[in-house]
Amino acid sequence: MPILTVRNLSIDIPTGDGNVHAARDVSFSVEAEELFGIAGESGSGKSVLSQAIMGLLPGADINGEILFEGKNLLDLSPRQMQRLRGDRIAMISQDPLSSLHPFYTIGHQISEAIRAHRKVSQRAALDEAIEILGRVGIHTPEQRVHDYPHQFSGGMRQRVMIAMAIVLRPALLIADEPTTALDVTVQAQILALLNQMRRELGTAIVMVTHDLELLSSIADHAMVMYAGNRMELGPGEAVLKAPAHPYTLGLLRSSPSNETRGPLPSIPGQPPSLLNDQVGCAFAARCPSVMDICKQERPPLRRFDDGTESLCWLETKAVSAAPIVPAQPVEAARPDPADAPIVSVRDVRLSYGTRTLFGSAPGIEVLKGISFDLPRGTTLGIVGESGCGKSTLARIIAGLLPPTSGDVVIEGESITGLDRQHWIDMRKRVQMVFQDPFGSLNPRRRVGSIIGDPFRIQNVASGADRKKRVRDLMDIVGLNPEHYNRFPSEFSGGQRQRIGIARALALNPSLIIFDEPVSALDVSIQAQILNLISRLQGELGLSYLFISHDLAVVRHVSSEIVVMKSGQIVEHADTETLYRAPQHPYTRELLAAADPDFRSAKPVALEAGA
Amino acid sequence: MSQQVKQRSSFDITMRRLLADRAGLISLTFIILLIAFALGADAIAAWTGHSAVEQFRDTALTPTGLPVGPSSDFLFGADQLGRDVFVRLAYGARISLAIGVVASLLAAFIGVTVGLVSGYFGGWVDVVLGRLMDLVMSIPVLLCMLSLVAVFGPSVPLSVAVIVFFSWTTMGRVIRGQVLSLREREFVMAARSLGAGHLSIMVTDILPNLTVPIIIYTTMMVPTSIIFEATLSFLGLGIVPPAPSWGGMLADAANNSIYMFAWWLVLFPGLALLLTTLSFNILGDALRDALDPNSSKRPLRKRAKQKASAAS
Repeated sequence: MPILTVRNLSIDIPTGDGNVHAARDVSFSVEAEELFGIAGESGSGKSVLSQAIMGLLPGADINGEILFEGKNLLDLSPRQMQRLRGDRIAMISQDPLSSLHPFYTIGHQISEAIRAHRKVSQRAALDEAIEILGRVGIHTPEQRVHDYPHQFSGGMRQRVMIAMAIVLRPALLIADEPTTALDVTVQAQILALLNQMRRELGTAIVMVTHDLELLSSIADHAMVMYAGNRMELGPGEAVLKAPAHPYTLGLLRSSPSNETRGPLPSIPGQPPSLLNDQVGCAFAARCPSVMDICKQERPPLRRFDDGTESLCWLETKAVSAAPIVPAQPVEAARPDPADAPIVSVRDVRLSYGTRTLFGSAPGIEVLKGISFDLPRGTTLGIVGESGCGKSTLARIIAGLLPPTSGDVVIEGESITGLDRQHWIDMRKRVQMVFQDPFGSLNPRRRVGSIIGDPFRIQNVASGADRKKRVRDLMDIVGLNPEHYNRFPSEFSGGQRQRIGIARALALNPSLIIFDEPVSALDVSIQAQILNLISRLQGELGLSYLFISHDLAVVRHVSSEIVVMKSGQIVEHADTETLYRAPQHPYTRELLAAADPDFRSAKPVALEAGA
Repeated sequence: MSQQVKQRSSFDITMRRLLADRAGLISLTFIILLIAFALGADAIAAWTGHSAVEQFRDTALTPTGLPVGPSSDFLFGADQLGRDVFVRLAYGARISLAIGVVASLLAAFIGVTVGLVSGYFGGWVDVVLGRLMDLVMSIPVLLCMLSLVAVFGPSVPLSVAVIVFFSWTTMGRVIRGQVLSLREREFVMAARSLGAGHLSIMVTDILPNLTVPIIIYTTMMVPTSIIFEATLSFLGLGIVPPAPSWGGMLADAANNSIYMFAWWLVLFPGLALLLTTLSFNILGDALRDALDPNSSKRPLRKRAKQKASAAS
């Protein structure tokens, strides 16, 4: 018997602007010990679905059935639901930092979770906490149980969260993006742990994620959601290797993994607003194999031999309907060796000294002697995990932060020790695109004035001329120039990143520094932005410094890659060499963690070792 | 052109939220009526035939010299000198509102400037300005006012100056806190990387993001200033008699315990003061809810209502 069965679930959430249709007629079931993956982009309703199962949507209008161990959760009183939560159904959230109480020791928090549901003594609960912490891979748990959350690293905190969730042996564990906030090397460990725990304890896991590839290796069943609809459901392997729905196929193809070079096959357009009533297929507007009927009638459920179900008018699997167009390998711009490099970084160091009464004491060294050259017209990728100093380096090269020692030379001119006027002039050559498309645009200013800002600040163009240039820029990056007067909040994440790029292009810089430009975006949007970035490079002959934690993305755009770890460059090679023959163990570790094939190999290796 | 359309739409949303809040709507109505009342003080004086300072010893005082109560002639009664309370209330509203609004605006201006500079630059600038705010907050208000009046004599500009001097610090602290978090945002970094100067960043990038707290705290400062002015006048340190002010009228009523007999002398100015401050405070709350989409208060209330209607 399935542990969890969801039948025809529809969720409407009332808001000030109308009802948000977060889920429409969704059905699935999860067996014991199964890992069930729910994948979808942001706004697809996947998180709302998991909250509905936990009973954490008090204001919503929920129709359908959620059967858990034979009981319909929607009929239970809040009190009964509360008894179930944590005991029989547990949850792991995305951010392990904010989910743990900073004021109590983890032992206290875990034993509190136990004592909320079982009548056991403090001592017994603590023993149980120690036991479970040992199981999730915390070393010397009898000592660490008395530590506070801030004394653990991000990955360790997520282990503590998992320990807290499984300590009562729940029948169902809902993991909402359990690895998104973690570094790639840690991600693989956490996934392996979850995989191991469900086998040991027989817990069914519902894993919500935006990362389809992550599911491909571990999920028994996978469900793909789009705009609140269940687009596709089936065995994990089948869904991800031979997708039946055009949307799943589009998602898989647009991720910049492995071998791809040149433009990514992106899904055009934006996901629809969940406020609208849906006529026909939700994906019709973006679907490459759209037919007339898709826009008029709700698609039927198609069942295929390998157990996949797809909500689509296509009678055959999308993967067979649309053959893969081999991406044309684009000749990477070969740097002219005679040309001087556009940027050369020479032994840049940065340390934050703690200032004492007697001058500055030696403090933390963030950058320990970074040197590299960037040839004109090419892209240098900088990869590293959070805290390795890559963003700091970007700020130094952009001239926003003075280095403690060393020098950065841009087009033959040193950026250190510039006076105010030269510094302002230097802005015309170096521009930056920031990570957060929400934070990097002033929410109170109109798009026209945001993109026109460089002209205003640098006194380049004004009045009608400025307006015309801004419209041209919007056109270049693929924004509708009619939206000149809108506020950033009226745009989606991908469009905002286009605004950021347009602003960076305004002054015709020769170097653009991208600081994690796509890490906040969904896969299909990410592909659009990456394509835009490489198209602009071809058209305008720009040089890029591309910073990311995601090896697949960096590999896709860069001709050379620098791998950074704790403020140092551990490896610097051109992209293919780095991938074919990584020299440094850390590079190999990164590569392994980012490679989906490695993920499936990892649990096997663990079992073999155990 | 489309600029205006957009502008209105965001204004529209705020207004719609504001009007949906019943308490806020009532306060807004009251404040508008009060402003009309204050502006129409001359008309009221002409209509009743009583000026604010004229003493009607024959009609407004009984033969024993006591003031008459509310009647068709004197709507809110008369005071101990035979003046019309209704007319004086209208002129008092003028003074109260004018001082309240002017003082709040001035205090807001100073508070925003100091908060902006102190939060944006940080370092020693922040330390100096922060200590300055601490210093101002630690001065005993009334003692300071008493000595100032003793030296300069009571007057309207002095009242405003004192109110402003003692109320800008709240605004300053709020703004400083907001700026501290705003200046770390990436759009400020973006503006810097474009070569924008400090003034440009403060005015075009940070200031527009402070509109909401500025509007809310200025609105909230109005009632404080009105109370402050009333207090000063009550103590005889604010508006110089015979010019009417609410605080002064309350002081008159308290003198010789005449309020024991003539309740209207306390009730009407007291009520006016109470309702005005209450309205501004409620309006400030309503504005916060309407302007700040993240305020948790309203959606919860709404949800609860919807649930109730769904259950029934």
